[in-house]
Amino acid sequence: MLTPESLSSLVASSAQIPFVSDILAATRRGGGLDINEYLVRNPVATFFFRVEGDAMRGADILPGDFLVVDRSITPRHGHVVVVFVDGECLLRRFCERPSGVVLEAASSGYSPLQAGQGDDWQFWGVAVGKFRKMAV
Amino acid sequence: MSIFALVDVNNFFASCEKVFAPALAGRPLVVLSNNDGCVVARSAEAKALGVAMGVPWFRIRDLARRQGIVALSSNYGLYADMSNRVVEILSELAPQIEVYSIDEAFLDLSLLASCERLAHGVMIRQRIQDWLGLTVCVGIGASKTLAKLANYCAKKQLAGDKGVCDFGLFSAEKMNSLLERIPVGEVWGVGRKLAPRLEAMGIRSCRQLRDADAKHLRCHFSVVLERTVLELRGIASLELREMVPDKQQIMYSRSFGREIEDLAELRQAVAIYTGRAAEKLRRQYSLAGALMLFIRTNPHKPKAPQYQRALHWPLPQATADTRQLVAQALRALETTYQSGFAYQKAGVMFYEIVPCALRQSSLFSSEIDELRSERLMQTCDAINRRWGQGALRLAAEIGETGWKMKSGHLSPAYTRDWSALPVTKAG
Repeated sequence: MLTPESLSSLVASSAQIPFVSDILAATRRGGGLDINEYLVRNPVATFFFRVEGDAMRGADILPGDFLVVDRSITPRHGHVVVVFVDGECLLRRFCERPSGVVLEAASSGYSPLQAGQGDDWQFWGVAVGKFRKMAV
Repeated sequence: MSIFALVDVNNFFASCEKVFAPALAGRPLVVLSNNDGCVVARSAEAKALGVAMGVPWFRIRDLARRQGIVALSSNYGLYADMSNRVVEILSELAPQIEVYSIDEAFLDLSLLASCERLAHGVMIRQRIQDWLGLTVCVGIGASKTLAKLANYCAKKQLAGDKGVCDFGLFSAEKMNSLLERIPVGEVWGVGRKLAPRLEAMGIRSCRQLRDADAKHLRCHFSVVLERTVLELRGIASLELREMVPDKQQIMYSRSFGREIEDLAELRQAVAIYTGRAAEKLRRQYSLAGALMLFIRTNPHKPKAPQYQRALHWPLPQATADTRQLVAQALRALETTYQSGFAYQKAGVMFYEIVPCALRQSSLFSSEIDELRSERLMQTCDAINRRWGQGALRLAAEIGETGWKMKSGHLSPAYTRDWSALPVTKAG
């Protein structure tokens, strides 16, 4: 079983192992690992969404995925964002292009949306994680 | 000197709905009471169309059809979740907070320099806007009554800027002319009942009330009104409280004999307090639809780590059964509890109280269960009356149940149910 002590020695022997600090933080609270702790940076500002459609397949976000969305992060180039556009809730990549901010899909067949084309944009939040159950 | 802020969310219920429903953006929206009877909340667009608060839904149905007003049932689970998030944010931004209602809280800003308070108010507003998508107004003053009035000024855009108003920045002349323009009925605690009587005495504006003879008013009205007058003068006579029960609420809260760190001990205290409050509830033949739990450390030991939380917790169904109430209160406790703090006080408050006769049916319990529960509770109460309070108590909790309400236009439980999450379209 993993105890904080055995984890500490693990850290000492291989500082390269990713996420160990996260695991440590979770174990220190007592109890087991908490998936919330790992996926959610700021619980107060975090909400979950369900993904429909495959426009973000290229970003490894598939239909049916659960998405962790944090409102406290200011969107930057490359972030995957939830945005309300003309009465729809869309999932796109936030891209800063010379022409201005563009919302791009991550698979072919979807045309990018350019800011200021008459659509009313309302940024909702930045996707910080995703999860799904496997069929067993 | 004490300085208070009152933070309240604009059009709270309607705003919560709009956060999750892109199709509602810019549309007039009303939220209806239990069983879809009356309008209990309106979006700014619905207010602009002249929809009044409390109006029965059937009376505005035609207007709604013509103007495209959307009507939704009350989604209390969603509102409680968003309210708890607001409280969480505010608790980080003030050393002490009083959750006054589901969409209002008083904060203690006494530790800030006078030049910092406005900026702090602006920051509070910005953070809640960014993190939750809700718009709040912030009123700041030297008493709770003034903070409430400053909030009114911010909301009505009578004073202040961008939803934040700090009376502390106003000159005496500016205060005078501002208070002169506000009708006396807008003062916290005066309201529609007292206003006509005050007006008959020639007291029509807030300024006239502030400058009236407090002792005289005490004779004609009450000590409460005298206190209001003092509060308007900036003499704080109301302190922050952890919870404020009104007649519609039942509360039981006590400081502990000694500080408690351990969750197990805290659970025991909360179970006992909930049991006492449940007895009060049954004495008035009522059921509770929701509870609020609060815990806090000792604010008079500022060097010790401080923690304070008040959590709204909707119940799966209205009940007066100690077993269900305790089980839910303990779940709320486990959600709020943080280890490493020395807790000094806890409390439980029941709200959304309805008479037993109005019980709503639930998917998960039959009437026989409810009758049994009622008889069991009556027996417990009788034994406790005979043998002393707490003679008969619970040892165990019961399992969990779902959430069901009679409401025809209920929006999804966006934040409380895996199968009801908002959908984002990658397509």
